[in-house]
Amino acid sequence: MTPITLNHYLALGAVLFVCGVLCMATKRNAIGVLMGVELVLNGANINFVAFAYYLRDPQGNAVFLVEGQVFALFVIVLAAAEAAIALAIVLNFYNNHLTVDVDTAEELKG
Amino acid sequence: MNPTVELANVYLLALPEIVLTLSACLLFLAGTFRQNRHFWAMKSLGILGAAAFILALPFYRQPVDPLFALQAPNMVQPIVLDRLALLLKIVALIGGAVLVLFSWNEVSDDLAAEYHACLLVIIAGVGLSAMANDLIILFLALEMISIPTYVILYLQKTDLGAREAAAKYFLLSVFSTGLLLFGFSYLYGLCGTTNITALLDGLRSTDAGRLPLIALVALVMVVAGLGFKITAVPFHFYAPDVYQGTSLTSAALLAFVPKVAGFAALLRVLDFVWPGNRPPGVALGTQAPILFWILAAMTMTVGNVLALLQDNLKRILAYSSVAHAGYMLIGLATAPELAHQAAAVGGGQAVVFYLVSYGAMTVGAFAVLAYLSTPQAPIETVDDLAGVSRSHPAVALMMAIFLFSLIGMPLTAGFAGKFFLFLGALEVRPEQAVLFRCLALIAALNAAAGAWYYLRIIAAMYLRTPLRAIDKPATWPGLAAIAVCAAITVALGVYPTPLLQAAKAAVGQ
Repeated sequence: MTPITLNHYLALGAVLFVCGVLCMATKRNAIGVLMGVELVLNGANINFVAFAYYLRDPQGNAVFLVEGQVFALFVIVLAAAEAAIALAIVLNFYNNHLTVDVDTAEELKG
Repeated sequence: MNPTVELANVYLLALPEIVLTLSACLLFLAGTFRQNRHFWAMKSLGILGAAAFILALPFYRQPVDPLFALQAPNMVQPIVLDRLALLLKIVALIGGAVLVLFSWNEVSDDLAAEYHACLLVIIAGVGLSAMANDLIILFLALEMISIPTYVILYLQKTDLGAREAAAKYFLLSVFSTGLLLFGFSYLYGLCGTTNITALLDGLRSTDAGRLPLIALVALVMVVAGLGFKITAVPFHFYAPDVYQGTSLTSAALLAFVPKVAGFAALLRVLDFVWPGNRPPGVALGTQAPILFWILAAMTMTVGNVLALLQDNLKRILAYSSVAHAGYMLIGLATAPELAHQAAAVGGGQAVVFYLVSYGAMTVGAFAVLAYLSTPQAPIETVDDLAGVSRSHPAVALMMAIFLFSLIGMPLTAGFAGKFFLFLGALEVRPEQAVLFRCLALIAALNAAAGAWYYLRIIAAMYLRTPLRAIDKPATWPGLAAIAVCAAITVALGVYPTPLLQAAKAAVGQ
């Protein structure tokens, strides 16, 4: 059995990112689009934490790189802050359109 | 040095931003007790003044106090106050003051405190993103600009169009944040550090041939993520819809602030693609200019062509802001070559100069529209401006100055800025001369095409008879905002040298 390496985590991060982008592009439900956003952000987070765990210093020694972990923590907090505003916007969208289908918004075009 | 001392120094560098953010928190709290837009606008002007004072204070005694001396970015500090940061912080504070004056009578009384608090946080975010020397700080600073912007878009107007604009801007902006973050994660993985100076150092010292493909992926992702902020094609499509749906104050904010932060971030992070003291031919050193060449050509052409088809003034100005982002991208495309051949006016320098000019003329144009609009009779289409020169001769004259500057008439900031950008493209040395002459030609054709839709507005103001009377009582803050923008536009056009030199010192290329 092959051990899990950095590349496996990077592949997972990339797959999450692509899933998130596809989700944002195809979902018509505003909440679904927000889920896509979370996938994109967390794909990047997996990269950060994996890099922080696996990277070696130039001599090849294992070092603990705290920046990656810190970055991931900040991203989690920011994702929460953005979700709060997103829900306010979606709720208001619902009040105006009586649905959360983003395709119903077509006031602005030209 | 002792890490604790280091951290204390960092806090001192960000003191103006800390003051702005804490005052904004107070405004959020106190806003529930007093609902008066003029009161809160006055307060936020005062807070911006205090931040400017704190920023200026150390330079009064600079030789004595080495702590505050301007320093080059280093591998330890997460934020630095170098010349680029100082210049952009001054620009942000002046821009913030103009935006406060501009929105003096535009926000409603019950939301005034929240609006001004969000504006202060955004200005603090611009200052921090200009100072950032760490990917984490840069990311947080860009979010400090984005999140209050969503709130402002959401609060200011309550009709269907405004709600749609807020939702659209939010979703696309969050997506761009995700792209940027993913690019940052690869940059971090390449070098194992988030300090930008250390990162650039690591990337430069890597042998060109061994720089993995992942670096190119990171470059594309970072450019795409920041491309949303600067409305580069193909990430521009939200701009016209959002500008049209939201209020004039928010539209001016969106046209100015994200562009300053986006270009500041690009100049900082993409430093590794400029060859600097390395020979050109580094893998990314040759690929990045081509990427920016394509982005610049697409952005200005799409912006100008689509602006020709519009009749709504906000949509015209939105596409015009896309087109101007295209002109600025020329500077990023030419920067590596011009730095290498030590040209008189470098690419990055021209970008910074144009950024300031663009901010003055675009915010000014929006301020004129806001000044002439009333809630009952908003100025929305070109027809609404017909014959303004008779009812408001002074304001019409200043609008004409902004529009001539956007066209690029001599003696205005727009001419000087375009001149330096296009000149840079013509000066690129022989090997790539044809490529960049083509870019200069595309830019010149675009500037000519752009003249049509700006001149249409001027013609409507001066040659046509009014369709309806515009009877807006004169208000001094709105006039002051317009006058400041007009003064900057004319001053930079007549005497560009001081800002040009400041920009050269800031960017160093």
